[in-house]
Amino acid sequence: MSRPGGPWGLGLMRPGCAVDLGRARFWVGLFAAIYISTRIPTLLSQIHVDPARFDPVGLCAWLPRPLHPATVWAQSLLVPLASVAFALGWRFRVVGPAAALLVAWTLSYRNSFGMVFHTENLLVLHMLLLGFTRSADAWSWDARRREGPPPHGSDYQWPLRVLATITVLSYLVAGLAKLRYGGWSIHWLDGDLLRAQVAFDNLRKEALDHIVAPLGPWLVRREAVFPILAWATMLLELGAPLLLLWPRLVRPWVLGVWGFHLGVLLTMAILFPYPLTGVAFVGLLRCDRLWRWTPLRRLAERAFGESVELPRDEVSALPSLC
Amino acid sequence: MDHAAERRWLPWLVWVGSALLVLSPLRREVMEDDFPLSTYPMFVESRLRAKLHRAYLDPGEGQARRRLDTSAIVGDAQEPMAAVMALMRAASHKRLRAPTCREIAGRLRAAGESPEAEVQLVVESWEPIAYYMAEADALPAPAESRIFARCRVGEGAR
Repeated sequence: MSRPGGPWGLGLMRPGCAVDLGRARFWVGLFAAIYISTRIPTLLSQIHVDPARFDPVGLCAWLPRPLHPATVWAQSLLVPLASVAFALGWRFRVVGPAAALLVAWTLSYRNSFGMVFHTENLLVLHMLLLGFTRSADAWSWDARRREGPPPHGSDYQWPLRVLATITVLSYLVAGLAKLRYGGWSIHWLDGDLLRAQVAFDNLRKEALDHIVAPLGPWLVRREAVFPILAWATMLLELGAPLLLLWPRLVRPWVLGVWGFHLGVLLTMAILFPYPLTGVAFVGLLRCDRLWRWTPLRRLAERAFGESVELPRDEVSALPSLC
Repeated sequence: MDHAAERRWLPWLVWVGSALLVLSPLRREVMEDDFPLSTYPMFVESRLRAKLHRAYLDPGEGQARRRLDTSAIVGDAQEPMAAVMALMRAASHKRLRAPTCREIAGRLRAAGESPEAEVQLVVESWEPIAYYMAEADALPAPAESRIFARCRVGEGAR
């Protein structure tokens, strides 16, 4: 069956609604504001790190030495505020790109002391995309001033498809890494490496007097489970790009990946808050029913006026991935 | 190019560009990680026999040495992986050993530890599965243990 807007089901040119893109911006921005606020002590603790440990990555790759403490203070305090303004869609033409770049810069700096946090990659990529698109034409402070229903058109659809593409390809790269590292062998699938990884990670945390995962040591004693977990992980990661071709796979895939991250939390005490809160999947799921939940809708209407929802007849005419 | 044609090409351009960017780490070795365009090297290495990097404080005077936690190593209790990475990097880069040791010593000094106590950065070889398969009352010891950096608390950076 052919689809409007492209032969591969990408739907880049299909009409979309500013509300969907606005919601995506709101949740990603809100997540960034909360997440980075909780990381302020970590950001500030880097002032005291020996400069010899500075190993800049990402946007900070060109920095010859760590920043002056005053600059670290300034960016650490400014970035949560910028993220709030991003979430609210306030003066977005300027604030959107600026906040996205500031988040990318600050998190690059945080990752420049020897430890790259894989929990933050997608957040930065999503913010950069949303910050440079028309994601504040609805569900935003800026849109309160505009009269009439929120606009729609392909300008509001393709950013969501790009967002989804970034998400699924990230999981593909993670899956391929497991094959590439072993010289393109399928050794990872027999489960031994995964079992040893779970055991090692818990042992390492025990050695640092840190919280040991509640299920980790228990699961390590059950060898037969690991080949199943290894296959499931690989299917989810290598199969991720299929979502772009078959949108019907979106819900089971999101559920599977969410379960995978929950498993990582329970067996290794490694928290991936972005996917676990569901925000990482905003480009894939519309979840209209959730947004129609009265308390949430009233709250959104109070903040963003009439820009929070399209008339029902227009909603039904729009395509949805889920 | 007219405006309409430009608008039709822009989404495809951004889509292809974003896809290539996210896939670009495939050109690097898996362990050559970066941010935010990662190779995602977590969970790929074999840990069947694994090195564990730890930090200890030896108070001297016949007292038993005690292991140091995340906040003593990196000044932040939230990030155990940052502590692990700091010790791993110190183990593999000679130039980082003394500064990392002095940084930890500085925190312990500020916390009131004796200046004569010794910070020891250690790499141990473990078999993690065997560790968890063992009975609780017969936990195995590391197969090998080596101190790769040591410094007095009194040498700690202020």
